Amino acid sequence: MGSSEDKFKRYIYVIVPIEVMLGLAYLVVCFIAIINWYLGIIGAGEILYPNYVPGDLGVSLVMLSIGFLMILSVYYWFRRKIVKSLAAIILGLGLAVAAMVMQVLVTTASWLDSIIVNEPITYEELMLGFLRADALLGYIALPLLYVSLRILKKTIITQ
Amino acid sequence: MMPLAYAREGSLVRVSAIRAGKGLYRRLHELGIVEGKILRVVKTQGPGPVIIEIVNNASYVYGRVPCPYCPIATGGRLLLGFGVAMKIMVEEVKSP
Amino acid sequence: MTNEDKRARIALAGIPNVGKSLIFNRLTGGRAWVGNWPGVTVEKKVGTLRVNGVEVEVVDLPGIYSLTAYSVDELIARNFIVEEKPDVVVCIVSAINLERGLYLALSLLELGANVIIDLNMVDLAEKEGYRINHKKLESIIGVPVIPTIAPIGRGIDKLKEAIGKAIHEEKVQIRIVDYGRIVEEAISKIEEVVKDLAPELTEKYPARWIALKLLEGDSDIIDKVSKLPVGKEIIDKANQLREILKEKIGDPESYIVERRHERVSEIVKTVVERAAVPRVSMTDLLDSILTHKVVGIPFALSAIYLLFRFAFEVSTPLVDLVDVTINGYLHDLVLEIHSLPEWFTSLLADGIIAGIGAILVFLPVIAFFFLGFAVLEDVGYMARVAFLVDRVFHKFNLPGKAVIPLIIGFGCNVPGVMAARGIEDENERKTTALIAPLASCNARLPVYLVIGGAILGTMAGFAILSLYVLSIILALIVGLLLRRILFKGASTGFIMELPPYMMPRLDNVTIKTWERTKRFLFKAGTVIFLATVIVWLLSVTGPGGYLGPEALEDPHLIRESWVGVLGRSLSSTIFSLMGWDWKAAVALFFGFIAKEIVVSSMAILYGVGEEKLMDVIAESQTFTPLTAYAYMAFVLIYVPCLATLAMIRNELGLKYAILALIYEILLAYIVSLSIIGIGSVLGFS
Repeated sequence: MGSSEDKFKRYIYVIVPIEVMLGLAYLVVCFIAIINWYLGIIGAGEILYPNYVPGDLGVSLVMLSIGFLMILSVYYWFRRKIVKSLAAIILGLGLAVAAMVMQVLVTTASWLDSIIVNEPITYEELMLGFLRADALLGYIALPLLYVSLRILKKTIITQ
Repeated sequence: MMPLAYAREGSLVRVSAIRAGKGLYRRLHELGIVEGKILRVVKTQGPGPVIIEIVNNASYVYGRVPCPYCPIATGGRLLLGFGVAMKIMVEEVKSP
Repeated sequence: MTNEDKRARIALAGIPNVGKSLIFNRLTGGRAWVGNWPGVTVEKKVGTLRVNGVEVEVVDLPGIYSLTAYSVDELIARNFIVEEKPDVVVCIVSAINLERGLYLALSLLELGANVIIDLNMVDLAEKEGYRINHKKLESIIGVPVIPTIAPIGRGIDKLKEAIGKAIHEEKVQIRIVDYGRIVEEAISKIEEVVKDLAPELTEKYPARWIALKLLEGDSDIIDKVSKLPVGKEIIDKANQLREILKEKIGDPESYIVERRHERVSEIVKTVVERAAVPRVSMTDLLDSILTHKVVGIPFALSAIYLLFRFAFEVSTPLVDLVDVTINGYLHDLVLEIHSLPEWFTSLLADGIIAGIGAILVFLPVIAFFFLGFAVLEDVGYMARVAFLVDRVFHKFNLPGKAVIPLIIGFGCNVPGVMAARGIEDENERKTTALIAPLASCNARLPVYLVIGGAILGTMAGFAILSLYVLSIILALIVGLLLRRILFKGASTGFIMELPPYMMPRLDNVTIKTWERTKRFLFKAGTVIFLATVIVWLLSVTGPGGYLGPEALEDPHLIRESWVGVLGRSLSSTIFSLMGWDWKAAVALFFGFIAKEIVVSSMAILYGVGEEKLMDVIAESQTFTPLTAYAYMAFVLIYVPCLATLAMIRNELGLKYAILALIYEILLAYIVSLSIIGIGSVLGFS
């Protein structure tokens, strides 16, 4: 396969550590989100990293899925199940981007909303929305997804 | 001979019998699942619902290098529920 | 027939999911007239095409797999071809589903139709790693084969040309399948008898086809033949031969079907050419994870969560836009018109405008929900979800496919019930239609938010989540009970096509979204509108006469209105066990008409605008956390809204609509009382 094989190797040795770190990051966020949710239930007042991680079970589920898929990808790689490994990383990154897009859309929507009901929100509040953990990690995931898809197209995939 | 629900993932099987009532029998026939047909088991939650492909052997090969003899799916993919997969009896085949 | 009057007619046939609708649009330029096939609720689409100066009528036949007498769709297609005798039948075959498509094509040829084959989606076959030699196919099968790629319009011109040509040149291939010596002998014998005794029949149907169908035991043909004076003789002869065949080759019908499939396989083998290097397709890649029973589930749940997020949170500006302009600005504006009598402006503002506002306020969420769902559907992911849940659903005697109407039901029950049509097995279909109303639709959410927010405080979110989970669990349990008691019968099984993953297509997605949103808007919408006006009427009048619009803002006046009277009698009787006061009872009563009304009725009853409602309820101490939760559960379960009931009646009949009504009220009582009972025992009161 010539140079595409080298590209493949390069991809693997650079991307894999990134995958692991990103996957762990997502799992950590998930964990914090669950703790925050619990703190919210018992009315504890202060939550961890309130600017970044909401106390939302749904968010924790998505973070868990993404992190799980990324770690799974590495696991499959070492088990020599290439197809499954690539599938896992594509889906993990894809879900990460989807979650990010959703968060961006929601923040934009709330900005529009503030105009409509005439309760203007501050720049800081807006930024909080765009810089929430699921969005932040998603910004990192986006270029990774693009790169992975490009490489995939050239080496393995027919469509 | 075993129910399709127990077939090995990735294997090729031949339909040996269909043990179903008339309604299901007809629907399967319509869709091309008849006795003697060869299917590839794409995915199975074994035992459980099954995704199959109806395969065929194309005879002419185009391109530079003739590829190993492998049947390709020409009948589309079908998802068969657990109940249905239990009623289709198959045998594994080595080469179609 | 085309004489000099320059008019021709063609039909489009094909199995489901081959791109027939798109081809229809490409041929007719999207100008179509939609109606029904006579006597049935199956949609009929007709358009026109101009080719070679001739105006051609294009009839879209329903998507079918073959031409048996076992399904309404197939009979419609068959009868159309035989009676209306279209000049050409374009059989659209998908290149990636060649076997099934060709089976239909052969069936059409045997019927004596003038067929041309449109080989669509050739680009997708290329991606899967093979090509179809259409010239070879043309020479084997004897009719024109035109490759096309519908989404980009490639090949459509050639298709139009071929149609134009075929209108004048008829190519008929009745003997396309050879059934073997024994059966062919039987066929010729019956052919002779039919030609002798009933030649007028052979003007409609080819004699060979009649013979085949008689041997297959086709109920429609047997019926038609037996109605002829000479019918008995023909049928006896056919039965005689059937018996003989049974001994020699087994069931004739199965044999004939199998032989036809064999012929298809032979043809496919000759015309398909595979690429030299086998590669992995994207679909296989993604499916290796998405259909994995462990890994696929968290992904599916996440996807559904994101869908809900999209529907509820991204649509907020639109919702508030509606609220501010209609329920706020317009409403207040009308009330300021002092030149009209007070009761009239109140009717306009609090009745009519409020009614329209009530519908439109839900519209964005529902539209967004269906939009997201349609995208997931078009990509092909929903089929995988059905696969994942099938194992679980099977334990409840339901097909995995039933998960789709349930998810749609989370948006609005009305299209949810309608979506149950997609389930083939009759018993399973009826069961699914009856449990779809248990899905916690969008209209119930405001009730949860207001009551939960007011009484349950921080636990509200969790409580709401638990209600959604409860709705699924109840749907499954009730489904099982219905399957065991009422709709018994081993399921004929769950079979679903698994299309390759594709980029979602804008036209498909918009059509699907609009179809479902339309149901909400027009069916549920009219009911909601009427209900709001009725509530208004019953609030401003009472046994003592007209009370005036002040009643809408004054809790003491409201007690004297019909609404108040009704509420007090309800709460002191049937709702007394649950400890809900008369205002809650009235809201429930109106919720029967449309669950969207519950919150707005409560607002009227407490005499406040909806923004202040939460605080007022919290202060009034009419609920304890336990009774509040029980109330929310009751709203979840009790009676399908009127529009949903109408849909159930439409799909299943009056009997089952009444059944749905009764079982849901009973279930709602049982669950609410249990919640209160168990809660009290656990010390929650």
